[in-house]
Amino acid sequence: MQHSLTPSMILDSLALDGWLRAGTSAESDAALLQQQDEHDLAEIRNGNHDAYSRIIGRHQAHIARMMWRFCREHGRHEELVQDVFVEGWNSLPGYRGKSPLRHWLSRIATRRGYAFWRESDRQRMRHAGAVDLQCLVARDGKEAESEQLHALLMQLPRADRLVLVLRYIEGYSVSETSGLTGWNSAVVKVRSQRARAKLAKLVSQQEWQ
Amino acid sequence: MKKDMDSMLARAGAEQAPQPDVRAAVMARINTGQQTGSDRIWQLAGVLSLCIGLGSMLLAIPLLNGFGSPLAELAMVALGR
Repeated sequence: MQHSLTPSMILDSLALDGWLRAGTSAESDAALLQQQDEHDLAEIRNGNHDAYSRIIGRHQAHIARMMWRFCREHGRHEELVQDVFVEGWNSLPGYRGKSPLRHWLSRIATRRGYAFWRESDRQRMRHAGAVDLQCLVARDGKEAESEQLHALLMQLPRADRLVLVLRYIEGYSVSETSGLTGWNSAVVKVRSQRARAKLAKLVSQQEWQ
Repeated sequence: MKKDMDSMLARAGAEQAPQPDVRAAVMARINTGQQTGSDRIWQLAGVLSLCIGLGSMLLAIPLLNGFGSPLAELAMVALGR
């Protein structure tokens, strides 16, 4: 049986080729990043502590983006990013290299962000009724919407907030969220559904007001 | 409604976060051995439990040796009488 190539088949195969190439490039980027991290980690083990500065340089944009989901006040946000890397340095002897360094740092960032929420929730309870002005500063356009969403998230329990941030804002999969939080996949799925329902209710209440 | 919330979450994900350069500050904190909040809490807890342990030991001496003994007197002096 003879097959003839139609233009749509050629286009499809080109699109698939592009998609595969993009996937391969992302994979090779991750492999390169891991290779550079391993090189710097080896240097740190040999006593060159300055190599950690290079590790920070490679991962600070990712960590800063993650911490922005937890805190939207510039000064405190920078402090949190610093805390993650200082904690990373202190925990470095325990890093076994089982997962990429970026993932390991993300786990520390998740823990630090959650602890920050715990501290700020406690403070809010102490000053009951006081509104977190940093979250409600009126800004224009997209930023205003993000501030509004952040303010809504702050009304949810911490665990719900965390699962929404990781799954739907940061875009992590169920298994990645499970790895970052230490909750099993079933808990992540159930918690995501419940948290979404709670957020939807808050959004609708907001619209009615 | 559901779509609204989904697009709101997606737009929040696409939002640009501030990108501070923390390299110098982190290296300074590491080199000066600055501790994190939890380090300080653990240290304080350690010192506090040491003080409690020492205090109870000193208090136990007069109870075990009798209040008149020289060792008990020494313990009472250490406790500030």
